[in-house]
Amino acid sequence: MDNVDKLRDEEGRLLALQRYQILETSEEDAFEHVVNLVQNILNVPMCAISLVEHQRQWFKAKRGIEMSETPRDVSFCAQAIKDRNPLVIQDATSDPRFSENPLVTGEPHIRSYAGIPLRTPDGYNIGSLCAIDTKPRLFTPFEVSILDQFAKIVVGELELRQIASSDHLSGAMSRGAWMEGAGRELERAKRYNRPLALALFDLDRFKEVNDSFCHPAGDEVIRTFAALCTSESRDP
Amino acid sequence: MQPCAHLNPETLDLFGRIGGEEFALLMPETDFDLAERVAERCRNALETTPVAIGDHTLRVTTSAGLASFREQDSLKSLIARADAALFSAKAAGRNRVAIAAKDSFGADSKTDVSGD
Repeated sequence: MDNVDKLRDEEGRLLALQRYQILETSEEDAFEHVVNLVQNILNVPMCAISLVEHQRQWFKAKRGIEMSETPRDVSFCAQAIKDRNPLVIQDATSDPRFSENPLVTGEPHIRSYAGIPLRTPDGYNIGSLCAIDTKPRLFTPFEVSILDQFAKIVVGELELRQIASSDHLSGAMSRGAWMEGAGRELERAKRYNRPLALALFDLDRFKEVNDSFCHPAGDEVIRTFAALCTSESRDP
Repeated sequence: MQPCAHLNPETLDLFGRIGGEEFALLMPETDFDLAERVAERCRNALETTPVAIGDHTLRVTTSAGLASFREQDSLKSLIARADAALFSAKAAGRNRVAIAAKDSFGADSKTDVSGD
């Protein structure tokens, strides 16, 4: 699929975002370091790693921004992800797309903006890394290129985080990542009074498989079952 | 990925390997009947898929325990109920899906073997 299709494939984009299992997670050092550096190097009052979900943007890390999320329709970053190229706005008050935006006319009074789409290896823009100022400002090509490199670091960290959370043999989630994700889903089910079900599987007579054949046989059984379950369930 | 009758198509199941030969499938936005069908499909898929090991062909099966979320549940208590159901599936002869006893009320199920 070419890039243009990926930009229009909202369903695929949301699935790509979900695969990272990162929404509603707590602060993590790697992302905190990036927003610290962006704020200091570009000398901006605000910056954020914004992930754009169906109807909102949620901030994985932020500086100078109070709220943890905003509706998608007022989000600058939701505009930034519509393109492969950076979105750079010198003065939002004179830009017809943003002049009436409540984040411009009211708190936090955004005037200038530079956002780089966070593009996954498979081509989806799941959010953006952005630098924001409260006065008009033209971000230089050099500043935009610094932001661009930090955006690549953010995606790299997301990928590493993903690898660490999966079991290398089966490709299923690791125990730790599953427990964390399950805890989040349980809280959500509780808060919104939604149904939630859990199935535990234990392979029958697995010790006999390993004893009569050898460990590679056991590994093959593990892989087979994981692949079957993944295709029968709605696991990404 | 299998498209599936689902209350919220944006929600994905969480599938994890939580022990050596133990797996967990958490199904958000999934009512009991659908969850049971999914678990049964997983069980059946393994039973009907021979695993080739060199010149040999292995037939392997799995047991499963199913529990659905209740308001006062913690993750620990939910897992404990599913685990108890899994134990009863093993005790009843393996290669089956069993339901946590108190979850079977209202669920139209023929595989409730937990009976405590």
